Amino acid sequence: MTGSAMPALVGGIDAGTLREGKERTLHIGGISHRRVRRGWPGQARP
Amino acid sequence: MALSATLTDQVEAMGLGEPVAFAAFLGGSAVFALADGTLQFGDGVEGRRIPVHADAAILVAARDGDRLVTGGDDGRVVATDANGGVEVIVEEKGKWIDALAAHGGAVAWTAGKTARARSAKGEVKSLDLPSSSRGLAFFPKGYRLAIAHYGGATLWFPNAGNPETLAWAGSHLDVTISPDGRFLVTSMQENALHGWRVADGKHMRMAGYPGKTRSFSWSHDGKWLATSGADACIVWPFSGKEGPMGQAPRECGVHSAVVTRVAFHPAALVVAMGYDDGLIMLTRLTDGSEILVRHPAQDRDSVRISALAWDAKGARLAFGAENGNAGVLTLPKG
Repeated sequence: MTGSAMPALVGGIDAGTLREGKERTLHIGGISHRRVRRGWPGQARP
Repeated sequence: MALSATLTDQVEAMGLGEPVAFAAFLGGSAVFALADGTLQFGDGVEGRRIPVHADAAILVAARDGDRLVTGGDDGRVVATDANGGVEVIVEEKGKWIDALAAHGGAVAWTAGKTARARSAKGEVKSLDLPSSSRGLAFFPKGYRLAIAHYGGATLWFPNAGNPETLAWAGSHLDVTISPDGRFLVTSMQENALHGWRVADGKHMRMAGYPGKTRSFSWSHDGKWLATSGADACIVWPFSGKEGPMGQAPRECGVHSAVVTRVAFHPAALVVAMGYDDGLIMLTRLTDGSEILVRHPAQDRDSVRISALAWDAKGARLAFGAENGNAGVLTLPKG
């Protein structure tokens, strides 16, 4: 499969990106997992 | 083509019986480096198993074209080709091979506080290190190495004079170089990444990991670095001249287990992620969408994914776990 075909395939489970503080439901293998994400704790710093 | 809910039915599973240390594709076939010192070519029925480190364990491995180079606790560095031909590169008597890198016919390894590099012509050079090292990487261009160790990293031209040291306090584990050669990134014992801009040594710290990062993968365009060590694949942006400075990473594939291996697709912004509960997913970086490759294991004993590798075209993904389970995903033709 080439890169052009990949975007059509990937996306079968969940199409949402988990944003900070928001809840979503992951459907992995038929099992739902409700998750709340706090967000990554930091940026790259000097 | 219809969208598929999962890719689990596209996986050919196999039980290899030994922990999988590394996976790669050689000559179109999946090859698995196993902890009992053998290489498994292909699947269990059609495949064959070649002993390359007799009565020893494979600790580290690296692919270079159609050769797989392995290092073991027998002190040997061995290169195996796609036909199963074996060449012993070196035997470090009484030592373990701690790190290994291979590029363009050249091979480098560390054993104790010594790094050695063998050029494609067979000339071996040695370098004393301030500590033992578990991280070694060739630059994409030129015969140059980066070596992680306690207190920073060393840049070394084996054919030139004095090495250059990039200092940062702490214990540095693995090392990777961006495909354009501009950035060097190490993982640290302190659950963080440390980066340097190679041109001027400018520092960049990337923290927030709950665990150690032991797997890196650069995107095919060199603009993203995927990393393990959290309950998601953490992907740092490296497209600008400042690298990820002042930016937060993307988090892909959030799950209730720790990501142990990551592997970017060779032609698309899609990353494969393996977890310590045996789950494998693909995620598309552009929108975070995900697709299942392998369910989490029912048994939680040594099921962590320890190896992931795409073939050159990105049509197949080989994986292996610490409990000896392995498999090959073949993507449906699009």
